[in-house]
This record gives sequence, C-alpha cells and structure tokens, in this order.
Amino acid sequence: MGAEHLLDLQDLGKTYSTGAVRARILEGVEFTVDRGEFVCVVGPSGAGKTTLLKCIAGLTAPTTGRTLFEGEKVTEPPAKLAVIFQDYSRSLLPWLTVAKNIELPLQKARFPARERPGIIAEALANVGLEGKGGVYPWEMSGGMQQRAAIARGLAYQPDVLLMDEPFAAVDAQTRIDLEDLVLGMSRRLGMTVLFVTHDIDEAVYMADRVVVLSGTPAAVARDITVDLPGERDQVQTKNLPRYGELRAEVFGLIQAAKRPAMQRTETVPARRMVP
Amino acid sequence: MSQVVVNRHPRGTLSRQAELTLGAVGLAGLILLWQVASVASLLSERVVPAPTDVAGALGRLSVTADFWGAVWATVSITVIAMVVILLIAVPTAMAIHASRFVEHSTWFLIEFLKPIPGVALIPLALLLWGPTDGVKLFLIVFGSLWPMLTQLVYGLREIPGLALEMARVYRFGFWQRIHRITIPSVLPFTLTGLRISVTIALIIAIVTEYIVGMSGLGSLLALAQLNGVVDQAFALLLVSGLLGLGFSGSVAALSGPLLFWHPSQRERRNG
Ligand SMILES: Nc1ncnc2c1ncn2[C@@H]1O[C@H](COP(=O)(O)OP(=O)(O)O)[C@@H](O)[C@H]1O
Ligand SMILES: [Mg+2]
Repeated sequence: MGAEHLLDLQDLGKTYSTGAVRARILEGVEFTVDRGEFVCVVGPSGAGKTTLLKCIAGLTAPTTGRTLFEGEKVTEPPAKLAVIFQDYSRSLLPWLTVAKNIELPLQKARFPARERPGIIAEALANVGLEGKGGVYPWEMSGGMQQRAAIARGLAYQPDVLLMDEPFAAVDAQTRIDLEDLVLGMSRRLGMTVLFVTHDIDEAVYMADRVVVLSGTPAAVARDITVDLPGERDQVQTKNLPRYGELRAEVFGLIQAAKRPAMQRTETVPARRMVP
Repeated sequence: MSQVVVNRHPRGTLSRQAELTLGAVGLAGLILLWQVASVASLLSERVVPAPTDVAGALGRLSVTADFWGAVWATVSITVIAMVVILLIAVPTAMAIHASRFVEHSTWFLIEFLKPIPGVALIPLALLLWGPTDGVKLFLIVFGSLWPMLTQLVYGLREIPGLALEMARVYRFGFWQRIHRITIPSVLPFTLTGLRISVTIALIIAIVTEYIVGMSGLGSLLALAQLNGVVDQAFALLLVSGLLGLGFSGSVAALSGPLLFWHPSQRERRNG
C-alpha cells in the first residue's frame, strides 16, 4: 500500500450516547504518527484522552472519521499494536505469574513455544525486572507492576505502543525512573510510542512531538515539534530555556481552551482553533 | 488504588488458626455449661439429655448399618443436587449475563421464585408427584439453586472491564478468554454460592426425609422422636450439624489453594 504514516487519524470524532444525553467528547481530531516517533498527546483530565486512545486501538468505534494503521482502517485491535493501561493492577492477571502474564498474548503463530522463554527474559531485562518472572503481580510494588505490564507489551513485539497515562498511579520518584526507562527503551529498540498524559512536563520531556488536545469537544489545538536535544536528562533538559518555552506554550493552549466554559451537551459546537 | 486495600493491615480478620481455636473454646464452654445444667437437674432429661447421654447414643448409633446408610443417603443426594445446580446455574447465569433480553425476561421470574422457601414446596410436590428420589432431588435443587445462580451472575458482572479490554488488545482467543479471565474471575463468587447453596441443600434434604420418611438422617430423626429416644434424636441433630459444617468447611478449604491470589486469602495468610 505504501502507507506514509504508521498511524493516521482522519477527522476522528466520538459522541457517547447514554439514553437521551449525548456527550460530544472528540471532534475532528487529526494527526499522524510516523515510525520511530515518540508522540505525546497532552490534555486535561476528562478531555477525552482515553477515549481517543481507545478509538485508535480499535477498542471502541469512533462516531465519525477513522484511524489508519499501516494504511488500513482500524476496526479491531491490530495485531501489531499494544496498549499499556494506567491501571496495571487490573490489566495484569493476579492469578498468573509475571512470566505467564507476559506469555499469554504470545500466540502460537507468531511466537513458537520454544522461543518464548527467551522473549520473556529479554522483555523483563528491558524493563529492569530480570529474574522476576516467577513472582505474582501483587507481590510487587506499583512501579514494578507497571514495568511488568510494559514488558508484556514489549514481548508482543508491536509496531506501536500506546500508553494511557501509564505513570499516573505511581509515586513521583518511580514516575521519573519509569519515564527514563520508557524513553531509553524506545530509543534503544526504535519503538514507535504514542503516549497519552495530562502532565505537561512529562509530555514535553519525553516527546519528539506534543499533540495538544483541548476544548469541548476536544480537538487538536496544536501539534508541536519538540526541538530539544535527542538525549533527555531529567535535570539538564528541564533547565533548558527552550524546555520552559515549550512548556509555557502547551500550558497556554490548555488554559485558553478552558476559559470559555462550554457544556458538552450543547447542540452547536464552537469551532476550535486549527493550526 | 486497590493496592491500598490489598496491603492494608488485616485488622478485622483473624488467622484461620485463631478462628478455629476460639471456635473450639466456645463450643467446649457451651458443652460444659450444658453438662453442669443437666447434672444439676436444671434441664429435664426428657426434654434435653445431658451431653454424656448424647455421646453414648451417638456411640451406639455409629455401630449400626442403618445409621451409616442414612448418612450416605443424605450426603449423596446433597452432592448430586450440587452437581445438578452447577449444571443449571452456569449456563443460565451465562445467558442472563450475555443478553439484556434474557436478563429482563428472567428477572421477574427469579425474584418471584427466590423467596419461596424450598421447604414450603415439600407438601405440594409430594402430593403432586409422590415420594420419589426424583422429587427429593427436585425439591433440593429448587430450594438451593438461587444463591448459586445469583452469585454467578454477580461474578460475571464483576469481571474487570479492563481485563477484557486487555484481552482484546492482545487478541485472546475465545477459550483463552474463558480459561484465563472468566473462570478465575468468577471463582470466588462460585465458591461463595456453593457454600450457601450446599447448606440449604442439606437442610432441605433432611427436612424432606423427616416429613416423608425417605431413607436418610431426617427419617432416623423422625423415628427417634416417635419412639421418644430423646438422646438419640439429639445425637442425630448433632450429626446433621456436623455434616453442614463439613460441607461448608470443605468449600472453605478449597478457597485457600484456589484463591491464593485473591485479596481475602492474602489477608488471611498475613494475619
Ligand atoms: N463509556 C462512556 N460512556 C459515556 N461517557 C464516557 C464513557 N467513557 C468516558 N466518558 C466520558 O468522556 C469524557 C472523557 O473521558 P476520558 O476519555 O476518560 O478522558 P481522559 O482520559 O482525558 O481523562 C469524560 O467526561 C467521561 O465521563
Ligand atoms: Mg484517561
């Protein structure tokens, strides 16, 4: 097909209908993700980030528009896509060991049984959980559980990893460690990552590009290329003047969208600013 | 979030050992009190025999084939009823869960049938169909099906949506989903349902036997009462109680190994 982009969102819209109430969450969301990119989608809580991610993953059908994954319209989760959920304690199965949790998605066709132990060990090593395969998820800390969930995603060898606020439930120090872990991992493995977060700092720090989602219903307010040096460092990068500017730009966009307090259930949507 | 709950210090729960010890102490105390009351003639032996008399009666019963036959009859019908209940409840719960239509169309029926005590149907069923083993089984199943069914429906409803989304993302097959997510998620509810249902089943079995005189502990009890052998009647009541304890105890014993991953079991182990 010669698809240009790995992910291509076209006029994506989502309206939830609960009885007579129609909640317009997303409208006309458009952006692309190329192979090897690290893209962060940032927006305030309740903006519709999870909804967007579910539409992209094929977990829920958009009301309008579509997502192309490797040139094909997404209707069900594609085989070469993995999702890391925020709530690791529910996405990992407590009745299975970490190794078994990682092995479960490895279907026969793509992963012959004899190759699996190696794949699992490698995935665990990539997230710093060497030798933890025999442990149950609830025997580990929150940060370690999220690492295990990431290892499961890695072992699956997807072309793109979608992450939905994966570090929102861990403490600040663990969060910093996990940010650097995911960044390092994605660079090392050349992974394409679409990372959703409400945290502006996290988005600017990690991303090659930041897609700012704002408004009601939400749309792309701006698609910003993060022109910071490729190697990120929690202290140095965050001290760069450019980091501060980018941060302020994203903050400003999100604040601007908040000002006109609009109702989701309004019939006529206000036009978003489009870059 | 649930992490907090899971790691909470198990203040309110006792370890199994402490529970058993306390239970044994309480029971021993009660029996002692009862013996003292009997010896002191506070209790008439024609109404309530002394524990030692009951123990004697139990000893005499335990060497008769009639007694063991009765125990076997009661236990076996209860076990068979539990199998039948599972065979009915599992597909029914799945149908109720899978389809809103089935849920709505069965809701009224189930809510209507649930509060009818199984025991209340005994005279009617016997009148209509006579005292056969089939009728006995029907009465037991009808009376003790509901806790199992209700628990299964709850269990299916409580399967975390996120686990199912995870299964879709990683493209689990149908059997993989059933085996790795549905069954383990529903298991705690199934065991709760089983524990409640088996106790009710045993009661209905004994009461049916008692009323109709079909072989089992219930009919032995009726006979003992008829002949005024009070200590034997008490011994049989004691055996019935122990059977109930045995049944629910076996289900509880299954919980340890089967639900080792469940927060309740983890608390127990830590406590
Ligand atoms: N299944 C659903 N049905 C109806 N409303 C929903 C559903 N899922 C989410 N919403 C609503 O959509 C809005 C956006 O939710 P979400 O996508 O989770 O936001 P975010 O992830 O950015 O915090 C919220 O107001 C939420 O209540
Ligand atoms: Mg969200």
